[in-house]
Amino acid sequence: MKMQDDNAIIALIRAGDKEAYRQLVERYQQKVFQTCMGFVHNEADAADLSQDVFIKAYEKLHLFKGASQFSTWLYRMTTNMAINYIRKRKFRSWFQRIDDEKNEMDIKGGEGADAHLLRTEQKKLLRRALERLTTSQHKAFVLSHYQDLSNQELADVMDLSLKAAESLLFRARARMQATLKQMVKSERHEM
Amino acid sequence: MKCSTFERELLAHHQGLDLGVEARLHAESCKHCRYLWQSHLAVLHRVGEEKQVAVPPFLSTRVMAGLKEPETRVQLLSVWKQALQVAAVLLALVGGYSASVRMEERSATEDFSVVLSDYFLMEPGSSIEEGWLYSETYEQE
Ligand SMILES: [Zn+2]
Repeated sequence: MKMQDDNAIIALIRAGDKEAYRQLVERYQQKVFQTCMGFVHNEADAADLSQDVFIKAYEKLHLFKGASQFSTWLYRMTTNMAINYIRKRKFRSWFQRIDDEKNEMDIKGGEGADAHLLRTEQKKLLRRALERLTTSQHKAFVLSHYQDLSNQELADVMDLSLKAAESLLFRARARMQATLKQMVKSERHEM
Repeated sequence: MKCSTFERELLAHHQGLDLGVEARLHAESCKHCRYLWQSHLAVLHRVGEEKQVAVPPFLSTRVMAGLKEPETRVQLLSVWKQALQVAAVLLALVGGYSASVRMEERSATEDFSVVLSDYFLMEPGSSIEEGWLYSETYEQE
């Protein structure tokens, strides 16, 4: 049903009704934004990245063959663009990184010091755990945990068999746990 | 319970909330596993918070404002084509090349235009979708 709807909208766009694309954007913007959050971890960057994804998807829409669902195609594009985005971001100077952290401190200035510390610690844990994942593991984790895709949907987006997708997700979780274990160990040595 | 058994159970119950009694008792007595469990829950909590952030208003308006007409690209392409042709002619005149050389250059220019046209005006069903979505750039680890 949903697939037909998307395809009907795509047919309208292909027939020249550019405004029809707004329906697709509004239908998928929350999911795309959530996925971007799983890679960039801040709202401003996630919004910019989501915007880029939808613009790119429109430009490449003539290449969408309809072999998969539009959402599958869109989510695949989102994860690929997000990975590229964070790779580029890694090349930014460390000054920018410090600015980001300072801005975050200012934005969250209203909350209590303890709550802020807790949030910062949680964020640090999450970032470090995700950083150690391979690209595919990162994608699998985000699609499963941020987007709540089923394992079959995950398999479709990543173009894997169901078993391979399940295995990839398991390895992502295992590696995250190993990273956390390492962090717990080193923090205890510091104490 | 051994620490390694606790870790396996935590991995199996990745939401971290439905650990068995034995595992919970182990975590109470083992600092290392308790911290590991807490950090696991902290990560999932943070994920939960991040995914609840609502998409900013007007994203769709921003997207719609940023869309380019495919025609614009075609127009740009023809401007480029003209510019290349002019450049080729100027190059030929200034350099005083022979007619045969000029012909070669013109065909080279046309070849380049053909490549550009093929790229931008490719028909649906071509393989660029795969090339773009599965390229090494995107998938390298
Ligand atoms: Zn233990």
